[in-house]
Amino acid sequence: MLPTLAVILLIVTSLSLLVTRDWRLSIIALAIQYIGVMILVSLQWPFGIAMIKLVAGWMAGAALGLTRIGQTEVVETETSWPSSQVFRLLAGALVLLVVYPTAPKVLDWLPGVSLEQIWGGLVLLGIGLVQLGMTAQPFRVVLGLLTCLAGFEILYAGVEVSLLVAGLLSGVNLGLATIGAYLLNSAIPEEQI
Amino acid sequence: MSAPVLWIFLPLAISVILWLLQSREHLTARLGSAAAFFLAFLAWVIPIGAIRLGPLAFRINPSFFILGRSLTLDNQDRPFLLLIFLLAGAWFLLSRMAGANRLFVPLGMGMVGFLVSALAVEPFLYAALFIEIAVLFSIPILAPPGRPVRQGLLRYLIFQTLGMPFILFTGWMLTGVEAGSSDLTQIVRASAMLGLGFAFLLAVFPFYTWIPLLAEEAHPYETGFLLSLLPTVILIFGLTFIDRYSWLRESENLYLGLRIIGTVMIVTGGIWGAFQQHLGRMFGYGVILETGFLLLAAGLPVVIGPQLFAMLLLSRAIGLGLWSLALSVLIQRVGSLQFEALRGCGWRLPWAASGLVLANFSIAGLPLLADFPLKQALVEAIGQHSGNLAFWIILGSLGMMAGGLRTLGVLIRSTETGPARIQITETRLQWAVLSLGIAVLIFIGIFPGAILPGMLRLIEAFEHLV
Repeated sequence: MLPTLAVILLIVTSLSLLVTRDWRLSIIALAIQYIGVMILVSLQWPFGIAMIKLVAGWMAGAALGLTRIGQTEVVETETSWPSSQVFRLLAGALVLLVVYPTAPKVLDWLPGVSLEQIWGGLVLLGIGLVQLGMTAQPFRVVLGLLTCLAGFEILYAGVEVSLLVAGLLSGVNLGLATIGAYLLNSAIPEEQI
Repeated sequence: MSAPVLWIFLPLAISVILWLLQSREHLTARLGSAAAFFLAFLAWVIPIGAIRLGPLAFRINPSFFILGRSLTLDNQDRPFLLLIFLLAGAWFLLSRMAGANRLFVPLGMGMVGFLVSALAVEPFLYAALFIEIAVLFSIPILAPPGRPVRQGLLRYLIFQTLGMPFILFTGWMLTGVEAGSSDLTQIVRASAMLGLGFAFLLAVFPFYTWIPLLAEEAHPYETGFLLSLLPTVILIFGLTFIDRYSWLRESENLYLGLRIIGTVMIVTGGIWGAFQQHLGRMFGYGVILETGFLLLAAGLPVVIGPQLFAMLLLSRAIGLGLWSLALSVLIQRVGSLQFEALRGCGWRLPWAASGLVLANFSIAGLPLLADFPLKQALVEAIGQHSGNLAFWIILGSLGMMAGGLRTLGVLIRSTETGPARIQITETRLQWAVLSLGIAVLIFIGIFPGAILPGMLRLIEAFEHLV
């Protein structure tokens, strides 16, 4: 029951990340997304180690959020609202349509991984990729990469339990968030920061 | 003390110190290059293991254990350490002259530390994680504060990050294959994952679109550093795969695939390079062409292929280094690398113009320049497998040469202000370094046997490839 709820949570949060242009909502969705990731990872890993994913994800979200708070409010305008939002939602729905029949086949590739983990992992990978393909803004790119990596981490947790890898992947997540925060500020000359 | 402490943790610690000193740019450049040269010197003279210096005896352990895994550098890795720290030292030393930003040396040193970790980590498949961390370190180098973030940089970040999961998954799949499974499906899946992972990491066709974009957007010296160091390490990482897994090593399809992909990169890089109007973009296509040649060398059978591969690494490093240095001098003096802005610049900046054109020609494989003996041998070896591939490779090289001729034409075009006269406006240091680079390119081209065979020690670590 809990894994299925986690998959639903991941679908809702990743679609929210794809559709919304409000950075606050995006950060909240990212934070909730990592709860789902932690639940699915904990199916294979000890709870304590699975918590690393949650903590690293929240820290990544906090780094991005704190950077945005410190910046002048720039409203991300939609050139063709609501059609662009509907388009992104449909693209996300298309990913879900592809993931649903594909997941059982991926189970052959990754024996030992549960179907819920594969659903969750593929949903995040797919929607993350769609997000990466639809934006040229550093903030959205980093959110897309974090989403993709979260999906990968769910799948990889099923096949590899290594403290070093868990630590390094958390380091990569935090590094990506730090780079995202840096890129959000990098266009501003240093004396103005 | 252990070797990883010396060649991984020490550079990382130096990187932190240089970061703290970043406002003193000349000092960081000198300290960074001195440290890199010192570490290269240590890699050259100090054997890993037991050492006796007169009455003193001490030991450098090859391994450092961390969270159940190890970082291991042994004597066979010393040629690689020597190469990477020598290159880094040279890039850091000239960074001020080239006008690189102040984050270049501190973060560049950090990148080197993580790239060495990538080749030291056991199991070696975790290297993808260290490469990703090195990529993250490179981002502020390419987009220093005050410079807007553009598409090329974001694509670079995306493609490099997407490559990592494929390599990690391959690692898991290969443990099954390595354990003796003869499951063909598993081998095909692992090969597909591996191919995609390296296609992203190495910017192989069609995932190389970020290279010309980045080369246009970022400072040429910073781009040159990244594009000469990162693919070198990734390619050596790739050779590790071929050396380690017999099913991969013995697969004729792998070699054929490498030859075809290498040729596609040479043809597209060379021909598209010929039509560029921006010298940064042309440099990007030159890098693509060079990666194509390296893939081609890796696609040749054992002995000749790996040998050419190792020697190409040096001529490539010198060619790309000189090219990006010349571009840096041009952008400092002219402010733009567009053809329109560079018209007639060769008369005012003759050393930069000569360095630029000769590096371009060397990468294209013009006779009497550093790359020629190796590329000629490569084309000859490829011709024995397929005459068609050899034809396309020559066509790609001719494309890059045409790009060089166009550049030369623009640089020496007479200006509207009157008859052109040579007037050296480069600084003394700039022309000294550029002329030295040109001399090295020509020297290696005329006497390839004097320096290039030294690179063969680099592949001694690959016991099945030598």
